[in-house]
Amino acid sequence: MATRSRVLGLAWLVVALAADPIGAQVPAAESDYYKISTLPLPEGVVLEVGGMDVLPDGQLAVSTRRGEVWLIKNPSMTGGVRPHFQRFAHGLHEALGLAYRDGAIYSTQRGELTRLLDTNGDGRADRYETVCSWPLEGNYHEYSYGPLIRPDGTMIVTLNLGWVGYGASLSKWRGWMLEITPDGEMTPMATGMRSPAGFGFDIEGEVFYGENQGDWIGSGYITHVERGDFVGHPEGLRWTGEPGSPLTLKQEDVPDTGRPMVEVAPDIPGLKPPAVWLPHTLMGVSTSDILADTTAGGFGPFAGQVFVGDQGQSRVMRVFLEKVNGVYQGAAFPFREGFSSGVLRMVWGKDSSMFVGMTSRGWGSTGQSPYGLQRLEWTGLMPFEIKTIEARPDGFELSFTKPVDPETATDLSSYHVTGFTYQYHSTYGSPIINRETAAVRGVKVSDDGMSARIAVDGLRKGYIHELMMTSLRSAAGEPLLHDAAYYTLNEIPSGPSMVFEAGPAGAPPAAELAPVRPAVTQAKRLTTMPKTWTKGPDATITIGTEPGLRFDLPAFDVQAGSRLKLVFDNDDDMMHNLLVVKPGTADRVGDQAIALGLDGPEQNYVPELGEVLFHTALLEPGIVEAIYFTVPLEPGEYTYICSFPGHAFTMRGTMRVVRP
Amino acid sequence: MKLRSGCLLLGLLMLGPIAAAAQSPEAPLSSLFLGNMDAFRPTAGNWHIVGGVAADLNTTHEIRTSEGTGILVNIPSEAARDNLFFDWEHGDIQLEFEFMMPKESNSGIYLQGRYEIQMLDSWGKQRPSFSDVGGIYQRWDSERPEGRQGYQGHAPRMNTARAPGLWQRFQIRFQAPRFDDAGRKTANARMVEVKHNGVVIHQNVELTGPTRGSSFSDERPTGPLMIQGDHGPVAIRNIRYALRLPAPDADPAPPRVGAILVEPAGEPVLIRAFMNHGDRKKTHTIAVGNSRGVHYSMDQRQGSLMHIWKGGFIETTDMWHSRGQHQLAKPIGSVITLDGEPTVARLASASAPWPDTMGVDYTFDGYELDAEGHPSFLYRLGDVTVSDRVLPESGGKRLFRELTLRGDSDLQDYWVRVASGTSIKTLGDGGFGIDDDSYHVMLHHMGDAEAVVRSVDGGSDLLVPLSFADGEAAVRYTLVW
Ligand SMILES: [Cu+2]
Repeated sequence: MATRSRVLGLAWLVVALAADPIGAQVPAAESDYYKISTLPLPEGVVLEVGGMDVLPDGQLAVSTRRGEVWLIKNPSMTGGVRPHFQRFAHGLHEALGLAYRDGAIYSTQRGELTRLLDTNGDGRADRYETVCSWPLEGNYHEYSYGPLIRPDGTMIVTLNLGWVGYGASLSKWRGWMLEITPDGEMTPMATGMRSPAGFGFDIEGEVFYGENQGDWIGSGYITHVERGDFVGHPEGLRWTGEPGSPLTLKQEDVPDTGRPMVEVAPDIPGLKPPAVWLPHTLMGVSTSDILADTTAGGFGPFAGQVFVGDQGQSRVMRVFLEKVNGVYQGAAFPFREGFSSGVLRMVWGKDSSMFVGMTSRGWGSTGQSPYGLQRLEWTGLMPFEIKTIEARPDGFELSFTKPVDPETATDLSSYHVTGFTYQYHSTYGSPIINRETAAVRGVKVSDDGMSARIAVDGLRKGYIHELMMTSLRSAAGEPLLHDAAYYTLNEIPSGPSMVFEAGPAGAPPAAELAPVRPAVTQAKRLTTMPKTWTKGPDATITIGTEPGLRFDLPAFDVQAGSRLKLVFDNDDDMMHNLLVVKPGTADRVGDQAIALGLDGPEQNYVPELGEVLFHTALLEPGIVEAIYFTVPLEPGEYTYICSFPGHAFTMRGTMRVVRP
Repeated sequence: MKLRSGCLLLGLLMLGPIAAAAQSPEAPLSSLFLGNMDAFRPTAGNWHIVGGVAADLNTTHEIRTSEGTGILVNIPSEAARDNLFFDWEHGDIQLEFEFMMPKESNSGIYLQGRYEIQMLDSWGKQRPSFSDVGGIYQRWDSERPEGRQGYQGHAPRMNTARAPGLWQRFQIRFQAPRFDDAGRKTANARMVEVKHNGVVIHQNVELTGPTRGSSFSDERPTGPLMIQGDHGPVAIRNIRYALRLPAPDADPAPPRVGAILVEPAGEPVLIRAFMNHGDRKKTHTIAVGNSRGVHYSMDQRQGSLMHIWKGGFIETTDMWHSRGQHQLAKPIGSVITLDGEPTVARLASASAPWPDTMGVDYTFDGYELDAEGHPSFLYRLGDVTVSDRVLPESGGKRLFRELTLRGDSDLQDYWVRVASGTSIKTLGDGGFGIDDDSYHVMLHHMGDAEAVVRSVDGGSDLLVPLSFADGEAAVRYTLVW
């Protein structure tokens, strides 16, 4: 607590000295408000974080992929003193979860939930007790996570599906969330999980789990889980005939239509749609941990909300949840990026700082370190953010962390709302579908400037609604630190609608609404051999992938002006594309692909730039695509990249064009 | 990241933990006829063909023989101690054979009569040198200064020696030196690969000239194989060879990933992992290694030993590098694969078949570590609780296993299976030879309990009946290999 007040004091000093708050001249950065520091690791410790918890005395317990458990004293580095690492246990089978309770450390290994006890008080476990064990088929993708411990001591564990070209439940209860008593009695609780690496309680103690894009999962999300739920991926349903299953739904009861989940759900008893979608690449790419803000303000203005980690994009997102008509829903916001590796675990330190445990372990992450441990602190300065978004019968009510500027806040053009959703099908991932602009018809700002209610035409139940507020300003003239939010509208509340303000800011005519976009055609992607190539291609190059966001071919030579058949074999377990770009333009193309936003998926993440010469489609795992093109006449080192957001930095190679 | 969906298949096809990476196709090997001595040049009479041999842990330089054919044996005397030359010459050669060393005996195989791979009783030696079994013996130049006359010996990568009296195996790929038309050497001879008991101990070792004890001072395109006969007895069988090497891969990709190896330095190291047992992937296994270099693995689902081995401990590259496709931990040393079936069972009768898996009345409870970090595994079978531990013995030469079982005094029909195999030979004094002397078991004194060797379904079991008269039963034995 001493650290907290010191930081706050310093922050007040800064504010007092600066006549103009931060952000007026220099664009505000996340780091102005939330500071990342790194815990230095002892040489030789491979801390691929799998699980984390904070002990009552403030020690941080960390389990790792390599099966070790470390106890870290002084993790907040108080007084500038190094944290102290003591190895508590070793030899666990991929310990991807850890929790402390009543003097014991619990950890989930691939094949069992284990209780670790130090009976002789030397700071090292000497009893490794199997609480509950489950079968495995031996697939690398059969990860096991947890436990999350309920107040009554019941432990919750989740079991990842295997991967055999699709998510597969190769042994019993894979794809399930299980409850296990301290005595080892196991009860299957819910199924439909694909890759449930993260789960946690919200502020009320309800269980939410995070899901990763894949087959049947159009995009990442978090879902409220209760006993008997089916949350989306049908593979786990193969065990619903087993004793103890709280569901009777069968795999064949889930139609593979490609329609949105909201349309299919009424016909699938027990299907529970996500509480909040985390649109793929716009918010994150691989959902990890879920952590409710229990700091009561110690961590800043978001008390009671939940933070959600993302491994692939090395970031933490923020989610505001509300319950409408008995159903959870809410808004997802960007929160903090720039962590050094893939964010897998988050826990609160006793000083209200957030410890972030990381690993990228072959999937790659925006943060380039293979693993690490960082600490996120609130600096005490108040960012200008949308604090909450609540659904209203005719729109949304937004609250802010600071008073808004009345002029921009009452301007309807400050608010852009776009609805969209994803396909629910056995295919890996989904394009953004049924995208339509919803017209903002009115706005009413509260007297204190801390909230605004907007009326929106064309709200769609079950859809994600992007709220983009780029031109909104605070009373002090700051732009929003994050100008986008994604509200999942499972339910529309009843009640009175707002009365529109008349005047110049009134409703725009319907003609100004964005038209539905025509189907995208991409001329630089030729997937059939030109008829004029009567002798076939001059050369064929096949490129596959390697784990860790890499192509398996770092470079190849090809003659200028020759006819090339380039085969991209996406033999990875995530989506990739391949773009051939002009020399020296890979970074720019990669950045522009990210900037495509909602347009990204349907454009295969290929920006419309002259720098892009040729490209494949965005290929789901296991798909092979051949493209045909005539190699440029200009010799040089051309680059091929994957432009899927976050991949371009490492996933690139060189096409050397040489004179014939 | 090739063959993502096929990776399971690949994992299953890998033939056990000691299988090497895929190589180019082997040339077919011919067997050398050991029905008589026709394949060899005459000797003073110390080399013979016999039908059986035995040696024990305690008697120096003693090898006992029985009549028959198929085994070549050397029993040297003062008068007769010739080296044995094969009656043909070779250049490049693939050569495999099995050999048995009596206690403290010494021999060697000389490729082309010139380049020696040592054969020695090096059982249990912690840090092998060029002069231990599998070592490429050093060269010798008496003109060099004192203490530096020996040079260019190559120690094996690890000691994979078996105990005296057990059969061991060499697999050698030797490339002869090359010469131009004028007879000038253009390329040195090379040990392309040498495996000892299934483990690669040399790869691409260049030999600049004959090693000490060579029968020839020069180097030639061909020469006769020679087995040293003047240093002690040795037995050899199953000699197979081909007079050429498999074609090397024309365009091998350079290795991109360094190995992740786990080697215990201080206290024992446990690794829970997937491991192959024979051709099956086991998912709940625990490998335990110690700094003495004698290791074992346990299948926690069966309460069974799967492997025992010496040499290195575990390679985890396939688990820990990148995503880890097969997620297999692989023993690095020379492995004895045990049955991997339950150690404790309740049998309806003394002739009932042994169960190959545990049933629903089996529970694995975990393990506790003693003060030195050695685990005792805890499990239950019906009304019996078991504490099962395995410890290194004799400075790392062997493993000692102790099962302590508790149950009500009226419990009956529970058994411990100490070993199983195609054959179990009684050696006396509680000793048993398993699978034609692949390894030995020494049962410790157990009071009144009588061990039983029985034959069931073409195999043999070594069983100990359990009596819970005192509420507790114990079975202790040592594994020797
Ligand atoms: Cu990619």
